[in-house]
Amino acid sequence: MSAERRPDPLLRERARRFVQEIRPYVFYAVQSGGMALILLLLIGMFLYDRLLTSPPPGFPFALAASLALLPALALGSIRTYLREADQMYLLPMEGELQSYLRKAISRAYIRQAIALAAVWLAVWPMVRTAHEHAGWREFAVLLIVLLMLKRVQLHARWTELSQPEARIRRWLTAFRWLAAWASAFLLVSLPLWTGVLAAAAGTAVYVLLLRLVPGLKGVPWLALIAEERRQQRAMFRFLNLFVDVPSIQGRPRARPAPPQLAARLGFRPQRAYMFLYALIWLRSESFGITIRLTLLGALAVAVSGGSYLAPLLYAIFAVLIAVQIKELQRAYRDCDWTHIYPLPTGLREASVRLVRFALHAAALVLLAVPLAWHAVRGALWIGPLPDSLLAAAIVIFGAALSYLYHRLKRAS
Amino acid sequence: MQPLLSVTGLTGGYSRQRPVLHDLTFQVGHGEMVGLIGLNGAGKSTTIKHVLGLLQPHRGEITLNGRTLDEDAAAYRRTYAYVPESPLLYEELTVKEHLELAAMAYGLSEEQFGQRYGSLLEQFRMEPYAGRLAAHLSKGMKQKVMIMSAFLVQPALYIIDEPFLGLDPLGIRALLELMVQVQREGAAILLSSHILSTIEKYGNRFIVLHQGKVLAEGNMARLREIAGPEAAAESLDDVFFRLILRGEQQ
Repeated sequence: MSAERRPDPLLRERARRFVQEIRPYVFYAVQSGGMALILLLLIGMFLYDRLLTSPPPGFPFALAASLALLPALALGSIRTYLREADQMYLLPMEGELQSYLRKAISRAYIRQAIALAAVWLAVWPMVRTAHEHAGWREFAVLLIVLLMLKRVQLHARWTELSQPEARIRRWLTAFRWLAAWASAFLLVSLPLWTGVLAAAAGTAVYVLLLRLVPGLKGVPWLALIAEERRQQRAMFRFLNLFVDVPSIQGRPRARPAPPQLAARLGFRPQRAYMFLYALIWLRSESFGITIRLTLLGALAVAVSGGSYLAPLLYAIFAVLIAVQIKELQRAYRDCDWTHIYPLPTGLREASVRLVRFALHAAALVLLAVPLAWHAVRGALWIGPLPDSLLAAAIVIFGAALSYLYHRLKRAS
Repeated sequence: MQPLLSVTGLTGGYSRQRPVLHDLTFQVGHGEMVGLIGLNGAGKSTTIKHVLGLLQPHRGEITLNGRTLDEDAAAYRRTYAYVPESPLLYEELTVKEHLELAAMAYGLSEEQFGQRYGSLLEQFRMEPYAGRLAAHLSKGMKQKVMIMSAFLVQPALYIIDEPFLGLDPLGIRALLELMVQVQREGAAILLSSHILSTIEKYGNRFIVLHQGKVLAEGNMARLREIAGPEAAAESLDDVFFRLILRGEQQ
């Protein structure tokens, strides 16, 4: 076997090539979006500091800390850099590929453990607020336990990938997230050793249950290749927020469309691309991201307590959703049908902008619900305007900015 | 009578430095089925892309119903429907939604769509898959969606590139029956394929492309005549072989 095809050097080589591929985009992304990210970070730090120094009465710090730890614990991507062609060329040496995969899991663990430690450092002030006497011993012990839990999480993720049945895989994922959150909550809410014992006992039961799940004996090729594509897609989607990078299409979800959508649009050529892009949004990953961001934003505005914080969070989430929906513009933009269909030049572009604006306007309305609630209970006061007028002004101003941002225009 | 499709002195390809097509001239008349045949790399798909308007001719002119693409792009494009060699589908749309999209793009009314949709699904045995996303279809089924979309809009010209790859035998049969039916109704078909026995059976005329040039053109009798006296009773397969061999010797 040549050196390039030996498992370990092959993994290193593929990882190196991927870094090489995205490096120029990362450079441009830092140039174009670095300041905005730093600004967001500073705002976040300011809000976090305010929360710690003057928390609302009865604020659930243990719950907040466990939720903050959850993504770092449960997001368990395993980069294998496997691709379609490997089913042809690497499949015959599947036995030797075990060390390649072990190495991939180790690399994933090291990176995610570092990220988890960083999140733990950031979350620690909240834990200290929940437990006044917590000191360095608690910090170190809980960190070690969290790192062990991370290892279990990666093992569970591997079990999921080895599961050929999509329905069971989804249940396993939900169960894994639940286990991760429960462990984190037990650790940060109970006294040190009680929490550690409870989390350990729960994790032991979880691992035993995982052993009962039947899965593929060999390498789960299809799942690993799909997972790798998902990872690359996520990376490119993130970079796409800052710089134009080639996107990788995701696998669509079979979400039901509104009945008779084409008929409701009047079966008119002018609305063909609106029909197309509404469906693309509905069935692509963009749908889930938009919904999650909107719900998270509405929740954040609701629990903010009103004052200047609510409009600020409203604005942050309005921007995040607009930027995310903008990605729809790139879908199928180079597709041959755009040049083949007997439709006016520019109709695709104009239709996508309209769909983007409609979606963003709907998200703005949903985000405005908790804002209106703060206005009704008189908690929004930040200036001379009455609360209800202020809330209405914020929403109208947001919609106007959204209109300008999406730059609606007619097709030629 | 003015031909439906007229290609005159077409030189083209992806790069002006290295054109793939050299001075191509041919016509397709109303109600005609013309087979575009040639080896891999002969320029069949490039010719089709030029007719579709996806590539800009370096020299020469292409007209549909006497109009070039630049004169009236929408009218030019409304004249044809295209079935590509590899299915080009929107992964997020179902079979039915693809047909609805094609109907909307070509300006069909809801009633026209309703009349044609059901029978096309039935002919291609796709009723059970009407609500399935394109991403979850087999290659043959994707090809059927392309074919159904083209036949739904009933254009004057069907441009069909290698339609038989991946189709099951019943699908091929349904496609051939439809081709005969629309031809009877006056539509023209420009069909590129390597399945010469099928093309021979259904085609009225044939254009043999070789290295980007028209090597021979005409009906079976004319091609046999060009291929020489030995080809007098030969099939299109054999005639094609003779023509290519001679083309390479020249």
